[in-house]
Amino acid sequence: MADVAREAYDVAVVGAGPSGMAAAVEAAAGGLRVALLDQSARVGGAYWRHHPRHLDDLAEVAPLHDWATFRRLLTRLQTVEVRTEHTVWALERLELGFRVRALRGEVERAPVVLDATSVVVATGTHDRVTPFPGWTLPGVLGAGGAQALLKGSLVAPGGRVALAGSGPLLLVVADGLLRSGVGVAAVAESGHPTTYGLHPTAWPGLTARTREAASYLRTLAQHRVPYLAGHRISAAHGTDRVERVTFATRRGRAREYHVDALLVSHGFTPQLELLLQLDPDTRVDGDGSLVVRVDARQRTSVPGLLATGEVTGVGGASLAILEGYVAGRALTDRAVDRAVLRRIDVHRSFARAMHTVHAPRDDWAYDLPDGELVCRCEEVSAGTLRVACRELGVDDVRGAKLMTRAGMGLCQGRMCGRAVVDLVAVSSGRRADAAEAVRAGSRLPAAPVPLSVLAREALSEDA
Amino acid sequence: MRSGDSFTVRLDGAEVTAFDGDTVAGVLVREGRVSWRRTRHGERPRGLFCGIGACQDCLVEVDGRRGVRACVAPARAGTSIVTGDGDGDGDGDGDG
Repeated sequence: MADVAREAYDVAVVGAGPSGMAAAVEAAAGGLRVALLDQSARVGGAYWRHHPRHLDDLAEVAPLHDWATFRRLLTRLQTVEVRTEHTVWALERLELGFRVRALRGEVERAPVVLDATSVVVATGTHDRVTPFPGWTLPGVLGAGGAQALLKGSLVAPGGRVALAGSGPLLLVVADGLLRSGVGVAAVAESGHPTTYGLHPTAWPGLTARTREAASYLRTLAQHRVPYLAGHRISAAHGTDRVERVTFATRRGRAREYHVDALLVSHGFTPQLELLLQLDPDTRVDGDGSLVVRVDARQRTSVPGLLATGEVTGVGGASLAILEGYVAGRALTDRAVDRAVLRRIDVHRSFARAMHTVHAPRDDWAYDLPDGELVCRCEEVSAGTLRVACRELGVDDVRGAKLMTRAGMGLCQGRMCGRAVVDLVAVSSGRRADAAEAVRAGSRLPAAPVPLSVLAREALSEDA
Repeated sequence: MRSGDSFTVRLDGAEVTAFDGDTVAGVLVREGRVSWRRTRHGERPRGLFCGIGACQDCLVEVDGRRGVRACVAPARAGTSIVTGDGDGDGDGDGDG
């Protein structure tokens, strides 16, 4: 149909974070016509969310990691067609290449269709938050999401906050908040980071990481903020917002803090929704995340479909940038320097240790009270899911969806998908498996799409 | 602690100041809002949760369009934000 103009590119890169930017500029340097799409108003992803106009203020509160790299990539993006405010909701295979469907503008939602010979998916991650009592209270939010807010708008989600979960991000965010004058009550880390040294794969990358962590711990010490290793969230309390949090060790030693925000990250969930529409080979990574399998050149099992950054395994921005570079080179069959491959190895080895030290656990699935929600969108409680398993014969995520609507709401299971898999597995006495995680995560469209757009584009296929 | 250009947006009819680079969520949180809609079944309050466009918790009405992700939509001069839509359907298909 005439109102949806179709354009053709050699490459469409989905996601303009560090990895997508690197892939796009490197592909363009190889002479390819490249489109780079992102749902945000600016490129940079959550990592480089800083607004360029505020750099002087931001240098104080949020470390400008790899900022020179960002500036360099930004300059080189002049050779790429950058399409910000484009939310991609479908990837389809054509006889030759792929069709990319997007909505332009979060408010306007104008349909955009473009075709590309190759697609690079670099859609990154969001915070993984496993359910705990009170986790749906306003003021409880993802630690990475809170940091994006701080970088983008220089505003904190509270005046006195606590951070909890597991992983290096908790320290980074606590440091940024303290530097911007926000009170931090405590940082509760469920793992034991001193055990990094027990993992030989971590050693080559350990010195730099330890130095960075030490600087964050110094900031915490200066502000007398307790860093509680081995502490998990017992509960967030409050009526219409979080007012109090309790953390406890496995032995039950509890601490309580009065806060107006709780920032949580139990690691990360790679955003695979678009990739799964094309059915590439996947695997379960060391942190329990479903990720897409790629070869040494970032190619998936689907010809012409590449993936880079966190969707191939959570490993941080430095690794994601290098993987983007490799993918960009692979698209025009250019070689990659061996030094780059060695650096990638060091990052991945460190990530393996990180996944073990901060391994997510499934004991929440035993402990969560019946009245607490698991699916935030459809408001399905742990009790409802347990009854479905016990009395209705549900023993997998598909059954759980059909009987309880868990995972069928607006976020399409992004937030609860893994939690439902774990809880159903625990409730029916078996282990969660990878195939189930695929079924929990595979969904079209990958974003809410107005019915009018679906109808129009279905018509255009027939025309 | 702010620099950069500022401009005015409307929040529930009142004029408030926003800054370059703000998302709608940035404006709401700076104005002290913690939640700005209620869920369909339990009428539970919701605000920002994932903060990067995935969870759909922070839906709000912007320039007459319902179901807009506050954490993704940029705030611009004259943007109108209306909170309190409690139906949570967020389908935004007013044009359909």
